[in-house]
Amino acid sequence: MGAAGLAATGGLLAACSPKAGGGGASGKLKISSYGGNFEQAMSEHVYPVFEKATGIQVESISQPSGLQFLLQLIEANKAGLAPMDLCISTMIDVGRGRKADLWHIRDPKPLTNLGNLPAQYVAQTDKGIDGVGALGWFLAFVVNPDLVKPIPDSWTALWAAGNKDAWGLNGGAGLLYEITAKTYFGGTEILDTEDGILKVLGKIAELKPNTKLWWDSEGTMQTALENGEVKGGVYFADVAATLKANGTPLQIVFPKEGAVIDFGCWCQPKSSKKIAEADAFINFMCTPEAQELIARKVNAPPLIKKELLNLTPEEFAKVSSNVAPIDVNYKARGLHLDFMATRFNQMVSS
Amino acid sequence: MTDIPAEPKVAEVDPARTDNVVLTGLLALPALFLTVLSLVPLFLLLQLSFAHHDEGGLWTPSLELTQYAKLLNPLFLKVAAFSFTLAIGTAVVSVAIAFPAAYFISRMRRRAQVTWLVFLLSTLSLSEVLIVFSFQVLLSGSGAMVKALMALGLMSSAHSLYPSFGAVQACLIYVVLPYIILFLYPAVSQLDDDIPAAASTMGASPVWTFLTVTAPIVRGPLLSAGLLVVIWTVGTYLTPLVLGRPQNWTIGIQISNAAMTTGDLPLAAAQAVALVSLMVGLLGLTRWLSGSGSVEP
Repeated sequence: MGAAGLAATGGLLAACSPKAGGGGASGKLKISSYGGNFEQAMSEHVYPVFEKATGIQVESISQPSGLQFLLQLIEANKAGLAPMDLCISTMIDVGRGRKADLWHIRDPKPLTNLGNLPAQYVAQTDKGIDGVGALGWFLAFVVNPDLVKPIPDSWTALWAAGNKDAWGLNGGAGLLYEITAKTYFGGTEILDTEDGILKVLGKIAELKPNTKLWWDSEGTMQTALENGEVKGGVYFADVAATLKANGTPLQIVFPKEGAVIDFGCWCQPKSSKKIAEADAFINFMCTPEAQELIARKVNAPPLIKKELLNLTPEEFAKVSSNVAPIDVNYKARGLHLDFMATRFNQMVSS
Repeated sequence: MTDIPAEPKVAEVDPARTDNVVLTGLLALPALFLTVLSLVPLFLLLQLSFAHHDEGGLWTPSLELTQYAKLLNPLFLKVAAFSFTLAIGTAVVSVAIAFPAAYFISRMRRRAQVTWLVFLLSTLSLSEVLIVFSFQVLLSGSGAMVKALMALGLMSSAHSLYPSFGAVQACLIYVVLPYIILFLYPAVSQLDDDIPAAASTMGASPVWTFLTVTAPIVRGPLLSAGLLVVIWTVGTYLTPLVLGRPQNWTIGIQISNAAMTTGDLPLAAAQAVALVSLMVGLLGLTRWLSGSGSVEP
């Protein structure tokens, strides 16, 4: 759908939407996204384009990441007071929210651009769609080029000898499972069973001598990278790019096995009544125009199919890679998250 | 004759009743606060610890002991033992530093005392987050501490001093120290100077007097200060997370992992209940030990 088509839909929506308190003829949508750089870039560069195309005003709210946010939202939603109409939620929290009857089930009909998204980025149950991929983020191999030579091109370098206490790795049942499964066990399907998880964990345990920091909050890893406390490790590619731009010596590597891509979904709490406006927004976010803005202005990898995007190779390489990414095995996490987390914690603290 | 006893009876009852009313009024607010702010959350925590955890979801109300059974694994017991060792270690060292500090501050001239107290009070405005991240910078390989140690020849090559047990312990002591000095200050400033003077007239050295005469007099406040430190630090979270290795992780981090990583809130609640119970047990034990074999209350 072109911009003109969007504008037409938006006009129609605006005409029939319920009038918000103090609002004009057009609807108003409260959208929350992860606070900091991301929320700022979205409200500066993406929402205005949507507002212009549809006449629907967006009020941007920043949201914290983590379970606490979900728990508060569940309670607020029960009271009919969800503070936003759309929020971003990780797949695990989409599932948790689903079980708590938090999310509105979307009718796919108005979402004409949904086909632009690969199926794995749409959260769906028997009842319907409750989350639509919003944006991705990569967990890549980052190294300090002054301390690590030559620059590695494979995740196997994490395990290499001579790197004692070198790395900062993602703790707390993080995505090392996926990295290890893809690098040494041919794919992430091995995580579908507890036996498979233990095999992968055995390989992760070999990383302990090389690991100086098991980070949970990205701030801890940031400080360690800035102070040269670690020579590198696993880190968010977009945050690493910001650090690099601010002068931290960093090289961001998309290893030949692929970097891990994780993503957030747009979800609507049930107590929000702005269904049509939210549909218009989600549909807009699935357009190549919006996804190009995400790549150029928000520095996040676009989720829609690459062939639909009109990005220069440089623009694409800045936020993504031609190497196929490693997808998070959400099926395994839905079934075995407790097991994965408990065994991981036992492994690192023993 | 019958009128006479009636009058004082009325006069006796009235003020007592008024006192009771005033007392009840004064106590009502704290009692309400205690009930609402501590007993209600504790009850909810207990209730949650018996709930059923849905894998991939959150929890459903139930009355099961699954979570408590999970506590009996060796990792949790090891972490609990470590948390208490860390807290008791912090208590012993911080009280050992704070007591002489408070004593000497209380013996300074008025102006110096005020300066010290204001300085200590102002350090309380630093949040733990700020302190922990400052320690991270201080102890890093390019930080001031490492440079100083290298200059003194105590360190041969520059490497960071964290993550390590020492970093966790040092930071915790730093965090609690001003509180403990301020806590002990009133007790030590009331110490009668004639008693140590009497001891030294009888030939005791100043150090000996301090250890054998002065310190035992303030045994009660010292013990309270130590227990306060244990209560504060046994649940510590941020310091071991940032400055420690996984081997130095505490119950606080285990609780956070259970709740925030796996979404297993019933398990986190059971761990918290266990922590509170262990703490109550420790307080009971201390009270019993200090009660028996001591003349002091």
